[in-house]
Amino acid sequence: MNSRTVSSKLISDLVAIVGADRVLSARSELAVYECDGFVIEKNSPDVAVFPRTTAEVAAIVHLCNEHSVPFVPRGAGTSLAGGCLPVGGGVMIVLTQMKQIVEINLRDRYAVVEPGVVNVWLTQALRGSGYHYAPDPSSQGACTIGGNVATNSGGPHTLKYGVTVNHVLGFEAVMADGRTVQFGGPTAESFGPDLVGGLVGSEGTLAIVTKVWVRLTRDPQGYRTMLGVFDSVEDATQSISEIVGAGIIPAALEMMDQGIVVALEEAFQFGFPLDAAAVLLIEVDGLEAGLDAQRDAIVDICTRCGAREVRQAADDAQRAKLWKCRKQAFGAVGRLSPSYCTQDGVVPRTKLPHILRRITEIGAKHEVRIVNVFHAGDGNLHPIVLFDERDAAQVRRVLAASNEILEECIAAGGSVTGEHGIGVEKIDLMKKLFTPDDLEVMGRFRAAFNPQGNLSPGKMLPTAGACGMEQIHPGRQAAM
Amino acid sequence: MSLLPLTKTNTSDDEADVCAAIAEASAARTPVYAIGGGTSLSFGCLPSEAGLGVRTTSLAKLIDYPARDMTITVQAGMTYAELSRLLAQENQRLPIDPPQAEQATIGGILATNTSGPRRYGCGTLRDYLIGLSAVDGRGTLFHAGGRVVKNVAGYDFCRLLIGSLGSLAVVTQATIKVIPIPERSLMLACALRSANEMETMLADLVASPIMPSAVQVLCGKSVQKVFADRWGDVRAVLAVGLEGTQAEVEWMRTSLESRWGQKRLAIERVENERGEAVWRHLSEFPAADDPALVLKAVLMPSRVADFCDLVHSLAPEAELLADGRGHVFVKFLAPLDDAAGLLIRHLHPAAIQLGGRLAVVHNAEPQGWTRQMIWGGRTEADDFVDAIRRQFDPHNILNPGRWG
Repeated sequence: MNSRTVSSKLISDLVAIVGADRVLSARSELAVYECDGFVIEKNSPDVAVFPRTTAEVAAIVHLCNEHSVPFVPRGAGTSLAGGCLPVGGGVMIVLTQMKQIVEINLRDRYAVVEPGVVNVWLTQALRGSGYHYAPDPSSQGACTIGGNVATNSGGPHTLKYGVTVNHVLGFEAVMADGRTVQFGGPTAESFGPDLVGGLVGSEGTLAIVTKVWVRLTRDPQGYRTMLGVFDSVEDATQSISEIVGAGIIPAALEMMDQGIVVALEEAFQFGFPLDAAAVLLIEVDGLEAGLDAQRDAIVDICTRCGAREVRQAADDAQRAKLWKCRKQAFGAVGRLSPSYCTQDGVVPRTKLPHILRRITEIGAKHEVRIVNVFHAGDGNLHPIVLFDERDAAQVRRVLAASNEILEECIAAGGSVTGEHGIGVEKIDLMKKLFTPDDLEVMGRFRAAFNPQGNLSPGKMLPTAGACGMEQIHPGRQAAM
Repeated sequence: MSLLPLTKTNTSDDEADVCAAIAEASAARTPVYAIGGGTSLSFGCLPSEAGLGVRTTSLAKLIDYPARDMTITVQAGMTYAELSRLLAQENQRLPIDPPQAEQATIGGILATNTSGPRRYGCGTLRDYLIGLSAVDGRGTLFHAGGRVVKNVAGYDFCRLLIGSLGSLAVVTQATIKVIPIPERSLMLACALRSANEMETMLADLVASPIMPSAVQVLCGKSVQKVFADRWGDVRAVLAVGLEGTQAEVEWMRTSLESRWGQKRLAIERVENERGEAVWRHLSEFPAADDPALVLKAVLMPSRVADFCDLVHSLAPEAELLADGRGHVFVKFLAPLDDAAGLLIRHLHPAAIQLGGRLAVVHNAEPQGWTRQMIWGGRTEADDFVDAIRRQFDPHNILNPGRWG
């Protein structure tokens, strides 16, 4: 049998649609497309194609259907759960060439963007307008808005502003059968089941988004950004609970433990205290008139909860530097170990002290080092397990520790993913989170959009299977 | 309830009963009509096939309220008023404000995607619902989401079921994230002199740093009821809800009064008891005074004034409540009889032209109303609604005919 799932006819047909310079099929050229930020499992697509228009995407999908090959959309590949891993190979539809900001309408508070627009481009385009696009994942300098829609991305400011789905009014998509359909649009809502809400976060398994109407949010008049320094993790988590309990909803409430603070300090020399057990990055924003009172209340609460000190960002430059540190925290982890695996559990906010204790115990049990930087206000944990992917025994211990952490999150009434998605990484955990009936109904929902199962096969649902399309060339996995 | 062709009504106080009733109905191919408070039974097309009513009002228990986590889990038959009372004990709220809050249930609000004046600043139920349990058309109980505020595991059925009018599943339980009750709430109102002025004022608000929780324009006779003693014979009133800390509200009030003052507009500051009455009046508008017909349009916000002007020119007797977020309720107290068809045929294309859609959300005399008149034309997205319905409700027993 041929070592490819796709025929040379398919490749020449793809070339006919988009041109030879927008089709990659040589093994060496495809290496970069064999995984996203989840590097444990790798698999190359057989061909990657870079459409520039919705019509090209539709033509590609029609072609894949004619040839019965699987196809998977991809943005910048910054996702962390293998959402754009091409399970079964096939055609990867890379949307990064669809990168126009089509319209900005400030009166009606929306923008229309193509899926390959990088999140921060929209923020840059809106600078000075008095508006911004609220979802700001840490990867916003690279991730695309199409990818944000697929994964329902969050970020540090979701506590007050919500996640991607709260900011998507509608989109145009090419469906699994090649049809182009508009869901929602420039208005705040429509009638009937909320298909926009139902499709956001479907991880590329139901539709390929080709144009998005996003809501624009008024810039706050001002910010107060604080850094609470704590000698114990308990005191820090207690402060979080007290701040929210006092009726204050900060724009962001992030926690970093000692391990990550040390790495950040080495990378950025911000002046973080190296001996603190935990640091809280707290930001309130909104009308100037209300900010000083909120800041004073937060300083007071942190102090009462045992904070060693509460520093305040003196000006915009200092605030920007603090946020740069936070958003590049994952990069700084490179200073601690050659590889790392970031988890994405969620617990009710009040269970944070418990889960952080358990994470420490689980790390000790499996002899792996774990550092934490996470969206504490949402209860959304990002334990980072440090390891060396060349050491098979370590990889096994990392996976075991990660699994145990996520099971603890479930036991605490939480979830196994707050913003990264299920992808391929967490498929097995779906059975622990949902009943067989829940998963069966989810399978039915997928079937309504993707009846052949050839759009992003093998994702999200344990029952999804590989839709009869077998892997023909060998995949790659990290040493196990 | 007489609107529905019911042969029998079950009042379940147990999720398992709902599953059993639907499974049995599914086997017998009997239609099932889920009924909460019964406040929106004429939303959409009128079902004609005789079937079983499943009343959820006894399925109304509080399941869990970890107030510090700012989430609450309740059974779907709990009324909005009851939920609000529970939340108020912890100084929290769900800012949805449906009409008829003492009857309207959480399940019903979810099924109809009902929202109130605070949608401008606080959003709608889709921004708060984080988990649910529901029973599909085969009697299968399923769950989605969870009890944490951030969660992307699995398909988002919470949002999918919003607005589904009981045609995909019967919701039995919901987990909702809630927010603190603000320290202070007040409203500023001013009389508008023309449609042009309406758009100017709405656009001015959007461009201003003021962050209102509600932006509402009331037009027609009902203005008299609320504001007559203040300004006499005015045609339209803009009411802006300001909520937040004392200092924030004070700043917004001063800032808005100064903006409006420059335009020489008469301004009323609405607060305390009168404030509550006006908020209530705006929330109740779609249901108040036993209307004959209520239409809801969702438009681009900048086109709301044009739409109101158009409705006024076609039907001067219409009462209107428009919203800075793009919603317009068009209410008729007396039946339109033969005029209804003509009006509705004008308004559907007008709504589409103004960037949105229109639907009939209440109709006291629904006989003779076609699908086209009620929902307007089909879109390609509707094909996928049908495909989902075939999956969730293979025998088409859940609220059949509601979509026409």
